[in-house]
Amino acid sequence: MDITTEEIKEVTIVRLAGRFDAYTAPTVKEKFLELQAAGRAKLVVDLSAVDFVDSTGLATLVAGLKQCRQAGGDLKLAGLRSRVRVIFELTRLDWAFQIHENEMAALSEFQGADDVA
Amino acid sequence: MLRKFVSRNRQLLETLARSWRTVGAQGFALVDADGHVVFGNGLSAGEELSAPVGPYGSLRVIGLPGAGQTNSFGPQLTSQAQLLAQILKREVELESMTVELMGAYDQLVAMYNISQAARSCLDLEGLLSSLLKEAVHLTGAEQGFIALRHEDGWKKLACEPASPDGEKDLAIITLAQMIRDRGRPLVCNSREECLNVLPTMPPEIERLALTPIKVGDEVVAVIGLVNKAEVFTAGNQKLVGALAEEAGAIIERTHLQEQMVVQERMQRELEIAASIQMGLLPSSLPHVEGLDIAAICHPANEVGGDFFDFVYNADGLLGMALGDVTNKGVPAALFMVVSRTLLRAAAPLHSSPRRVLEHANNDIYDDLSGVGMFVTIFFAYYNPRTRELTYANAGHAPVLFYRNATGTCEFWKADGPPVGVLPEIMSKDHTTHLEEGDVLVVMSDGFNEAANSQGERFGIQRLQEVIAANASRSAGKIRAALLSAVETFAESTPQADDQTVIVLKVTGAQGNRGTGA
Repeated sequence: MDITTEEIKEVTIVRLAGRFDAYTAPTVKEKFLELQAAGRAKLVVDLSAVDFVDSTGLATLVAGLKQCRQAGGDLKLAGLRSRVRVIFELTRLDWAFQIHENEMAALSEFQGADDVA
Repeated sequence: MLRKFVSRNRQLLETLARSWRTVGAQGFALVDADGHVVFGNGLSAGEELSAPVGPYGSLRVIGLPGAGQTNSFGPQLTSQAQLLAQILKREVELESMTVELMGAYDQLVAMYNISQAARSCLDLEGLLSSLLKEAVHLTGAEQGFIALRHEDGWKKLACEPASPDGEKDLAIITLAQMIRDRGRPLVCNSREECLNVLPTMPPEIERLALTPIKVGDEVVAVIGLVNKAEVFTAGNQKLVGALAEEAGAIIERTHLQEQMVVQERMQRELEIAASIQMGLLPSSLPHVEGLDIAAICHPANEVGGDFFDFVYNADGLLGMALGDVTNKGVPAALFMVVSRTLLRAAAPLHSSPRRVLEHANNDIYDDLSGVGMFVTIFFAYYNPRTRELTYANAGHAPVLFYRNATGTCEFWKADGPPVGVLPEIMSKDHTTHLEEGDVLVVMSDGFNEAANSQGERFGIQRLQEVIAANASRSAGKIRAALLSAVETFAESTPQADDQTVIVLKVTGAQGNRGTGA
C-alpha cells in the first residue's frame, strides 16, 4: 500500500493506493499515529486509488476517526470507488464518516467550518 | 632427524662402511650439520674425502690411499651421499605427512565429538562449551571464549579453561561487537597487532584469533582463542572456521526447535480458546411456539469474530443476536466474547433492541475506544403471543426476509453504523408482524463475501435466490441449502471469513421443533 501525505494549512491529505486489508492496514495505522503525535487532527483520506477495503481496513479508518474527533478534528473520506462505497453502505459506516466526492470537496468542508469559527 | 634416519637405516650404512673398508679406507662416517658424528668412527687422522647429504649433513671417508690426488673415489661417495639425501628427504616428507594426518584425524574426532554432543543434549551452552574445548585443544591456544549475542547485547557463554568473571569480559564484549560489525575472522599474531585492534587490550593477551559464528548472514556468536606458543596459522583459522560453521548450524537448529515448541504451544492455546469460544455459543436452540429455528457458526480459523445468541428477557420475549467483529484471529475472538457478554447483560434489562445496542455501545465505545475495533450486530426480540418481531440493526449485513405473502426476499439494510464506532447508536427499532411461511435469515458477511477462484463474490442477490427457492422447506434445510450453495460456488477457494447464520421460519402452531446448532 502506497501512502503519501500533503499538508494544506491545518488539514493533512492522506492518499492511499492499493488494497487496504489486514496486511497493509498496520502501515496506515502507523501513519495515523504519526500524524496524531504531530498534532495533525484534521485529515482527508483519499481512497480514490484504493480498490479493496476489508474489515481491518475499516477498523483502521474508524480508529483514525475516533482519534481525530477526540483531538477536536475530524477524518473525512474522499473519492470512494463504487466497490468500496458498497462496503461503507452495507455497514452504514457511511453515516459515521463524512464522505465527499473528491479531496477538494472534503477540504472546502474543513475550511468552511473554519470560516464560521 | 638424522639420528632417527641412522637407526632406521643402520644396515645400509654398515654395508657402505664395509665396502669403503675393502677398498682400503680407515674410516667412514655420517656427520650432521653441526659436525657431530651420528654414524661411523675413525675420523681422528688421515686424508679425508667428504660429500654433502643434502642440507642434513655429510658423508666422510678417511685414510684412502691417494684420495687427495686422484679423487677417483669422489664421484662414488657423492652419489652415495645423494642417495642418502633422497632417502632422508622422503622420510622427512613422510613424517610431516604423518603429522598432518594426525592433525586431520584429531579434527575429525573433534567434529565427531561435537556432532555427538549436538545429538545427545539440547542445551546450547553445553554444546558450545564442548565446541570451544575442542577449538582450544586443537589449535594449542592457552585460552578461549565464546560470546553469544542476545536481545540486550553480548553474553560470555563459556571460557576454556574456566575463568572467573573479570575485567577481561569487557574486552570480550567489545571484541565480539567488532567481529559482528566486520563479519569476518580477525587474527592478531603480536602484541602490537592486538593493541592496534583494541588499545585497551588486557596486557596478558599477546595473540588473538576471533572467528564469527553465523546463522545465515547474521553473526550470532564469536569464538575467541587467546595466546599460543607459536602464531595462529592459516590452518588454525581454517579449523576454527569449520568449527564455527558447525556451531552456527547447532544454534540455528536450536532456534528452530524453540520456535516449533512455541508454535505448538500457541496452537494448543488456540485450540483451547476455540473450544471456549464454541462453548459460548448456545448448545441448544430455544423451542418457541410457532417457530422453527436453525443456526450455525463456522469459523474460518481456530477462533473467530462471529457469534450468535438467544436470550429471554423479563417480559418473556425471545431475544436473538448475531454479531460480526472486525478483524480476525485472537483479538477478534476476545472482542467477540466481550460483545456477547455485554449483550447478555443488557438484554434482560430492556424490551427495545435499540436500547440493548445502546447499552452495549456505551461500554464498548468508552472502554475499547483506542482499539479501533467495532462489531456489527443485528438484535431482535420476538413476541410469540403477538408474532411481532422488533429489531435494530447496527451496521450488520446481510439480513434477508422472505415474505410468504408476496413471495419476495427482502433485504433489511442497517440504519446505523456498527456498535463501537460512534458515541451514540443511530439505529432505530423496526417492527414487523410475522406470518406463517415467512423466513428470516440473518447471516455474517462470510456468506455474501465468499469468493471463487476468479475472485467473484457470491453476493447478496444469490443468497436471496437460494432462500426464495428453499423457503417452503424447514429452517434446517434452508440453512443447509445456503451453506452448500456458497461452498459449491467457492469450489476449492478456502473459506476466508467466518460463516454464521440464524434461520427463523414461522410455522403453524404445531411446528415448533428446533433444529440443532
